[in-house]
Amino acid sequence: MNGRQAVDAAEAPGRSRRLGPVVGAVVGVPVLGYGIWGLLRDHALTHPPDAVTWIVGSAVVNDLVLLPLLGVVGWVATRPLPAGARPTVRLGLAISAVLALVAWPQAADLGDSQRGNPTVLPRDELAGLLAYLAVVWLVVGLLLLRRARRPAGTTVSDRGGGG
Amino acid sequence: MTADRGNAPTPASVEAQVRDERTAAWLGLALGVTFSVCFATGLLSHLIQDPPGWFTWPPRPAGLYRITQGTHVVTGFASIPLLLAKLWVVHPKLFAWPPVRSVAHGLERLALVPLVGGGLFLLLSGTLNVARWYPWSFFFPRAHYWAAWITLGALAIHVGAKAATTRRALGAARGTAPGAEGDGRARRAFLGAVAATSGLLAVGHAGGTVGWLSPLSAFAQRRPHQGPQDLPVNKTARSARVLSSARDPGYRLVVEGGRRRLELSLDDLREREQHEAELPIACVEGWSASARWRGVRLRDLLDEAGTPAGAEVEVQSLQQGGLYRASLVNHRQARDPDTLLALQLDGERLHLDHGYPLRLIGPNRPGVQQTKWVHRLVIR
Repeated sequence: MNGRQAVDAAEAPGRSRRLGPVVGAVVGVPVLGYGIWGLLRDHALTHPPDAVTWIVGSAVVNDLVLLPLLGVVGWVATRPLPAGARPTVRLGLAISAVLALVAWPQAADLGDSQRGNPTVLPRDELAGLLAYLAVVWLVVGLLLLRRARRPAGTTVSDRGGGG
Repeated sequence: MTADRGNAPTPASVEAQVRDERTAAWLGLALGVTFSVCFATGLLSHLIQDPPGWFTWPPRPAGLYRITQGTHVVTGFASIPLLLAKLWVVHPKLFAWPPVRSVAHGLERLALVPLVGGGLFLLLSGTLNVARWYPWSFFFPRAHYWAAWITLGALAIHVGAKAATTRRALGAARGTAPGAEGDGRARRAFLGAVAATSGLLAVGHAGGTVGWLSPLSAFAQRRPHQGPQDLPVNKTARSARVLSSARDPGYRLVVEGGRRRLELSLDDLREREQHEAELPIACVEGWSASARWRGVRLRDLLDEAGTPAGAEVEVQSLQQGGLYRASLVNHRQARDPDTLLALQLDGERLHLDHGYPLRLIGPNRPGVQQTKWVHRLVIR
């Protein structure tokens, strides 16, 4: 929370501002504790050091690698574009990154999918990913085209599109 | 390419509009809904597979599990853009200075570690499970299950801490929240793009269980009617190492634990009254497919063996190892007229990969509990 939001929070109704965190803690801490207890109790299956590495590592990689990288790539890739087109293209890049990230283990065939069982992951996921990306960039292109044809003085966001 | 316009929003101003409390609140609300759905359906699946004494999963409606588990997986995938967008919106706060303003604030921030890490882990591990890639040493279902409790607890702490802020952000005048710049159109466009990405990922996976979506589902783990006898296979006879035992001419089904012990050959089973049922295989990984099964009612065999009312049955496979070599049929499922020991699938002898010579198929059961290559029923 930044300074401005801290001021805003101070203006929120006092009772609920105090009650919320208390209720959240009373409900959340035992549930959180139960999860940690279970993870440790089932250590033979959960391998806590490995599981915790993946849990904490997910947050670290996302916050310190993935998001900054996405920001830098979006900034660099859209530098040559007109300023008004950049938000739309950046959204297209972000959507593409998410789709590629989710589809990547399948598209790169990292799993044991086809080994002896051709009914598992029977599709060409790379072709599927490319088809999805084509749809995304078709929409991005149409939004940019619509923006370019609009009379000067209006913006993409004036019609609620792009962004 | 488009020409630059004098009054077009600059990326910086758009970013300021998007990265505000109101966007974070809407995404938080959506995540609260999707994670709750995932938690409820996931907990249900866990209870069904590892039932405590107080829990008896009913056999009806027959297709309920395919709906709850299909919903679990599709909702999980739809959550990915929501969570990543939410984390991007609040990312600058990670580097706010001073990092901790009070003990309460410090604890609130500390709870973000299990919240963010747990949430990402659940979606990541679920995604990799569908992709059948396990680059870790733990057993996925159990680590996923306990991480869900950890995340839920951290979520409750977070929701409590942010309740007032969220209420205020969502209750603010339409389009402009305190601290927001612009008129909110950029925010709506951003949220629309996030929703569209969630929709794409949902469609991308839903075809594993919703047949008519299958051609559009680029990433669904199965095609519902692709496989031997038009049905996908989870574990093949080869990987279960039952290739020879399942084809042994001396095969017998043993029923024990009742007043009479039965030992039945395949001919003995074929001579008994046959029953047909249309039932789905519904996998925990979110795919499902229906087929027409024919075989002997489990309850007929239990009656023949002199089974006491209320007894459960452990159904054992020829498979020698593995966590799913046996499954439990509770007393309600055991008495259901559609719970079969199937000999046929869609009018043909069972394919070896579908459990020849005999498989269990019952309504409203997870696929891993539809035990294949059945050779022993233990009544208890």
